[in-house]
Amino acid sequence: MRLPRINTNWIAAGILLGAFVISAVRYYLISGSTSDLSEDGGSVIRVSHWQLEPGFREALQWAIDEYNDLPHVKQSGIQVVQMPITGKVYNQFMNVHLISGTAPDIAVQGGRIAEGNALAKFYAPLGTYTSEPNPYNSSAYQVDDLDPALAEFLEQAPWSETFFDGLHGGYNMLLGDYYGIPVCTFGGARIFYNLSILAEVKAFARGQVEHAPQASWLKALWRDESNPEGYLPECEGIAWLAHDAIPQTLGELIFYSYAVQAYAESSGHSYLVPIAASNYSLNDLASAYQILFFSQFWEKASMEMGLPPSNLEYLAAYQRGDWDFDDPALKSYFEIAALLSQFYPYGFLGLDREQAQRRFVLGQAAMIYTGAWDAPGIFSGAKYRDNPEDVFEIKVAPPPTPAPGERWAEYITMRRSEANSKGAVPFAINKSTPHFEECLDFLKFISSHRINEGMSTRSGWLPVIVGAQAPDNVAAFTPIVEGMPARLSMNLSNAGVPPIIRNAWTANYKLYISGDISYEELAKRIDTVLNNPRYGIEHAWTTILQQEIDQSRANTRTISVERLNALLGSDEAAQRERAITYYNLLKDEGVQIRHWWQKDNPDVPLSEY
Amino acid sequence: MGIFVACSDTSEVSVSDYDMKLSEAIRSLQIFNFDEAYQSLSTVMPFVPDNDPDWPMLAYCLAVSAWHKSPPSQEAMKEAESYFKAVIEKAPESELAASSLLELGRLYEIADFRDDIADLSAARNCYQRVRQDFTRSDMSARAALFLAQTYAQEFERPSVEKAIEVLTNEMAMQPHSPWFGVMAQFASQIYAFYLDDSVAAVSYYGKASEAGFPRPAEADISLWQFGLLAEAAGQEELAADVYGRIVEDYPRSIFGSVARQRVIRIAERNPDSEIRIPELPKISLGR
Repeated sequence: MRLPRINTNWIAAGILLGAFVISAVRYYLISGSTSDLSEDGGSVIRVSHWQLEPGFREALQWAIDEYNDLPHVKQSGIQVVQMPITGKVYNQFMNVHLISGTAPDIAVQGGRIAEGNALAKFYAPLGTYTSEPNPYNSSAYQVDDLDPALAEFLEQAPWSETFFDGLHGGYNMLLGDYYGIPVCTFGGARIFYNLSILAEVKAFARGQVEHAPQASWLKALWRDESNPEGYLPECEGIAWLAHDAIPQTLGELIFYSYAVQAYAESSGHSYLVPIAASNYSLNDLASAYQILFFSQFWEKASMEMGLPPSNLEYLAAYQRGDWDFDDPALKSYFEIAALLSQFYPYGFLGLDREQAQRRFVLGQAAMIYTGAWDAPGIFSGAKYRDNPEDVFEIKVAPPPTPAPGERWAEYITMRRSEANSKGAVPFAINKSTPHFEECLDFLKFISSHRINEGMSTRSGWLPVIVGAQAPDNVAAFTPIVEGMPARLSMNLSNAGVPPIIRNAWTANYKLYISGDISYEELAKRIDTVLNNPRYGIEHAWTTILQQEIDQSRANTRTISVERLNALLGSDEAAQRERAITYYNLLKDEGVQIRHWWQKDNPDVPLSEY
Repeated sequence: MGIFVACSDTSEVSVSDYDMKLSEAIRSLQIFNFDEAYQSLSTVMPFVPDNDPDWPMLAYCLAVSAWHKSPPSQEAMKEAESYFKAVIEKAPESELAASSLLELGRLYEIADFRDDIADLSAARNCYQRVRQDFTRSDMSARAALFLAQTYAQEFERPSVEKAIEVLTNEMAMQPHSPWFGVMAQFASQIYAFYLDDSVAAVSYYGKASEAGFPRPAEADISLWQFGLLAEAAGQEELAADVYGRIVEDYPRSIFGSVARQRVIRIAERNPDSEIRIPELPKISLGR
């Protein structure tokens, strides 16, 4: 029997039609649930963000519920709802909705199209409102038993002054106005230590050091005249084992990491590693030390002494031969990065941030390095285990520096400065919202002292309002003032470096720390890219010159606008005009780049697009 | 001023209140929406009588919008140029005329689109005219800065010295101008990096510091540079004083620790100078 012939095009058309129907139904259902009208017919204010870490959404929801419960909010029929969106698509989501005019009423600043002075196109400036006191800091809304002086300050101070950073985290330097209201502080990244593992490993290590002769891994650690590659003096290492403290020096941390490896091997803990790491760059403990090694070059690189050197100045310094891959500081950084990566799980570059956290909370890593935003998840993960015997205590501390006499002490003389930590998660008001006044009122509410303190308690994140109490377990993330400014450090993996150079740097760094290539191979590969006339440093001059010219045009537009504002009588605009004019005088039409080029290449014209 | 109706050959065009249009355009300009401002103003401008008191502001805003709207084109530049010139002609003594001259200068100075040729000479004429017609004003200070930049960007020593001359003359004429700090710090940069004269650079940095740095939010970076230049000029005690200001006056500066280290090193090199070592502040959260 012959089967009837089926036109396969109809199958494709049927699939398409089915997909369309499903999409239409989903669109109908979703748009119904995200209507601008609340259940009782009032208006809905949507608040979007991408902080999906445990604790934050719950804390924000608490603040939203408190706000929705206020008598005047109930009376107005306004209802605030949150729209958490994964960071993986947040920028794309905001781009589309900002352009289409359908973006949420309040959003954590996002979307590539809202960068630079385009921010003013999509989000409302808030400077006019920040000089008045926040009404939700008045005595009627304050927590009980507040110190009278603090209570008076909060009640009377301008809204901006109630932020611990003076609302710097919401300020846009280019536009000279406030565009965001931060609700927390990130502070610095820290090492989390599993104290149960620490105790077990120290006990194991005490037995190891007393054993004669010592194991080869131990002997290699001790730094003395015969072993300059060692990390710390033997007496110091043995002294550290005598008490239950976490590592206080870099040498002790390296000793501890080796000890964890030896303990895991001898006790059959095949999954136990010293440090839980992943492809999340902040999990790489070496990044904590990078700026100390790479800040050795700023004086040589700086073409205009005093201003923190730009990416191009570091590249030009390489071209001049002011630094190379034989430089001891550079080599030492790669050595410490390779060493620390030995303490990470096998294949760590294939793991994501959540997997690293899971490894730590499951007791399969002695340490993890990350920021305060991950702290609530880690603390609750360690505390609420199915088996009570698996629960462990955690200690949080900044990455230790070497003591005198330890390896790399000549480079790591201080930590990275966190003095300029700013308020984080800045909520901005969508310029096209029909509910601007209500949005402003909500932002005042969530940035009031009582609510910020309540959010901090619930989220486990540092607060941003003056006098708001942080939970005890995140106090360790309070910014450390003392340290090296990151702006004095070379960073060829940052977004401002031309992509081919940046990729060559980061890809070969990863290959090197995972043991796939030698340092010599890394140096050769990066050098080849840097010296390539088509996409190396020579090309970077042209690319960066064009970027500066484009930026200069943007600055010129800003100057025009600020002068117009000044002509209309704004003293603040006149100050902003002076600030941007000065900045532009130094960089106008790429003049700075052209000048640097002329200094280094007096007889060669600079190529332009 | 109010609602009026304009007629054309083909149809009657009803134009809404241009006062409102001007407000709308200014709001658009304030959020960098030059296209919207241009659309708004270009429809109303042909119908505004040129003796209306708001005409210069409307024309000025239209010129700014035409200049900055995208994409840049020869036509748009010509239109911007003609409106700037009209403002200068119709309100020659107003600040808008001075600002129009400055904008015209920038328009000539910058190559805005492919095949556009920068005309430095025309730009300088505009800036010079502001300095002549609006002597001892903030507009004159702005013009001096732009004029100096046209000379400095040539890099040749005589040109760079000419830039310095323009700035120092203006500073001498306007010692209390709010633009004094900008001129002094720009002069300092030119001395330091175009003429390699750190002593003169330090002198002008001091003046800028007294008058107030043009970018107050980055005052700690300016002081850091001031200190380094002072060290390079051999003025170590001044450098220590400047670094000390970073530590004590800017507790949230990331340069605090390195500035303090510099003070310690200078104190070690100058034991007889009794240099005080500043202490870093503590940052605390909570009550």
